[in-house]
Amino acid sequence: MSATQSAAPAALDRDQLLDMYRRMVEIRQFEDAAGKNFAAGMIPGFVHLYAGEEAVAVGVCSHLTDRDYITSTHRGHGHCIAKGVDIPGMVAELMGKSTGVCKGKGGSMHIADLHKGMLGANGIVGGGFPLACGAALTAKTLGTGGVAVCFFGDGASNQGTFHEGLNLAAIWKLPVVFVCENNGYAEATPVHYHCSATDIANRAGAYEIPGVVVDGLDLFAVYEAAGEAIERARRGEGPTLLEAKTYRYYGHFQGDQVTYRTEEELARFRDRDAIQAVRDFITERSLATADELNAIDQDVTAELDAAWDDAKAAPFPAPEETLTDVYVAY
Amino acid sequence: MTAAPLVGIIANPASGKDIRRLIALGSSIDNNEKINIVRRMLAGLDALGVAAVAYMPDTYGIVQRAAAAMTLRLDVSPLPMACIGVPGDSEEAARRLADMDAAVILTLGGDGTNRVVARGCGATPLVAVSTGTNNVFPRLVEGTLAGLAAAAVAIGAAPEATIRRQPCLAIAIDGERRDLALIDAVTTRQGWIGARAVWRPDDIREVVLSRVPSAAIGLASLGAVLLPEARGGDTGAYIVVDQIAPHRVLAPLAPGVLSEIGIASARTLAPGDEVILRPGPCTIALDGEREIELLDDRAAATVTLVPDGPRLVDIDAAVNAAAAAGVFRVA
Repeated sequence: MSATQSAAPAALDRDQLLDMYRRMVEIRQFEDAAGKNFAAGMIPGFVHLYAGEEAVAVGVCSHLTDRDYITSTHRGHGHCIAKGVDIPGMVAELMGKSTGVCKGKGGSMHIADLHKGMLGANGIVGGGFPLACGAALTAKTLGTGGVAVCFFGDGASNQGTFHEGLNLAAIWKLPVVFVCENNGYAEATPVHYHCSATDIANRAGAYEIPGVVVDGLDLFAVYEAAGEAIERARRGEGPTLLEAKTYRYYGHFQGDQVTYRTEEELARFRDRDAIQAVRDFITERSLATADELNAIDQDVTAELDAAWDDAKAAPFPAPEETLTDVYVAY
Repeated sequence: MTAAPLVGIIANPASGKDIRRLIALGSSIDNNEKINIVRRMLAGLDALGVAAVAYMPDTYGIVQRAAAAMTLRLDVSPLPMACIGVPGDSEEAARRLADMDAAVILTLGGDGTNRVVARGCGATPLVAVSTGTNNVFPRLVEGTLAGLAAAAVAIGAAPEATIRRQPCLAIAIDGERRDLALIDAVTTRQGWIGARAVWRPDDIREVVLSRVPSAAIGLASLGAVLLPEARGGDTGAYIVVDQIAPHRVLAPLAPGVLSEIGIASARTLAPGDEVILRPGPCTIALDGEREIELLDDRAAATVTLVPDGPRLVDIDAAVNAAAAAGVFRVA
């Protein structure tokens, strides 16, 4: 244990900050548009929206490059964007179009881009743990210096794969960081109802790895903690369990009536909005004006509008392509 | 002392879980262990005849869960407040307990938790049990003994002499009182509050201490290393850090983290002394956690050593006094 080593940067320069702000805005606007267009019947299947949780994906993935891997969840759009997956390709993928990043065959819940180290959203709750361990074992075996980050929710922490994954990562000292996005609800079930102990991070002790709770609404808190955990993994010191306390603005899925939480609770979290906090941070320090940040917002809106227009015009995969670009050949 | 003394309990569900388990070797105290500690406290309170306990209804339900599994004579009731999982919860609970004339408040947390409690508790004495990371103010002590000590104070078996005023630091910005620290106030070069802890020597500019403890973890350790003659007295310390200074010392900045610190200057502070912090944007950490972002380099931040801060029960002395008063005799 080299607890005194600390390689994560203590500061961010203006360009880095504005880039992180932009990523968060991209996620928020992507999700708002996805919700609207799902309601309009433009997206087949289901969508689970990440709005409200942006600080987690961006705070973590800002430390990663294409050599690093992430595994995601059913709520995976934010992870994709934070990991650098092409946004127009994501829009087309949601619509099932052939111009999508998976040629329209993955959709929202199986969206992946292996070139970006994004190993896929995942409809199986808790499906990411073994994948992340495998990816981390690859990085360790090949000596690439890469790490794997496994995003998962509070509900997934009750799956067997959580315990199998943490144990395997601990005994093999795999370069993996388990990031629990504890948004308070597993679908409609509150965490205090489905978890015997509501701090998921405390489960790290059972595997003799560090477990840390961090404010998931605070980009800088996530950034610092994730940086330390990722650098620790890169140094070969093994896995960390990082629990980000966060909140989702939308329901579990679009169409969810959200009868299990109050408007007051939602309002309380919206008052602490992670993107607004970053805006305030930037403007209070005169790193950029509100107008400059608004220009970023508008630029993202224009890009997304164009992406949706392009996706609408794009073709669906042809029937003869049904069995191409899928994992299983029949 | 009233006929039916009230004892308060404030258990912080968030203590013992922050980044210092990753960048240092901070101990992990899960909430189930806090529940166990509260059970032992309740056993001690109940045995000595305390009639009522009022507690902060924290988001995890530490005291509620503890009491639910026990058969007690004493009444255990939540304070009529809604907790939302922020430090303000503990301050609000402390204020309410002080308003209810609680005889004593048991706290579970670290220096940070007790700092927030101290903002609200007024003259109500504290029995502070460590479940945090940096613990100079609270003690690592068995919960039963903490319960007995609190009970001794509540039933009048522990004299005033077992309760001592603790020094603290008053932080003011441009002359306006902003916050307090129980042990240390530190200016850091870090540009944000973020993950709160302070552990990189390069980040530290100045350290103000309310006391010079003889053995301490965290920034307070610098006091004992640099000013050993002041240990245990009523003086504080003001230390200016400069990592390129030739005078270097080794200090345990966090659990398991021994760091070399360059020292530009170090001097003691007398009660009432005021330190004007060096100008320039910084974050100010209070009791080990970044709390205040100071962006304006014209802002004047001052730290004053206040001798009469929160009142802390000496657990050993209180239990001894109770024994001397015959409280433990059953026949």
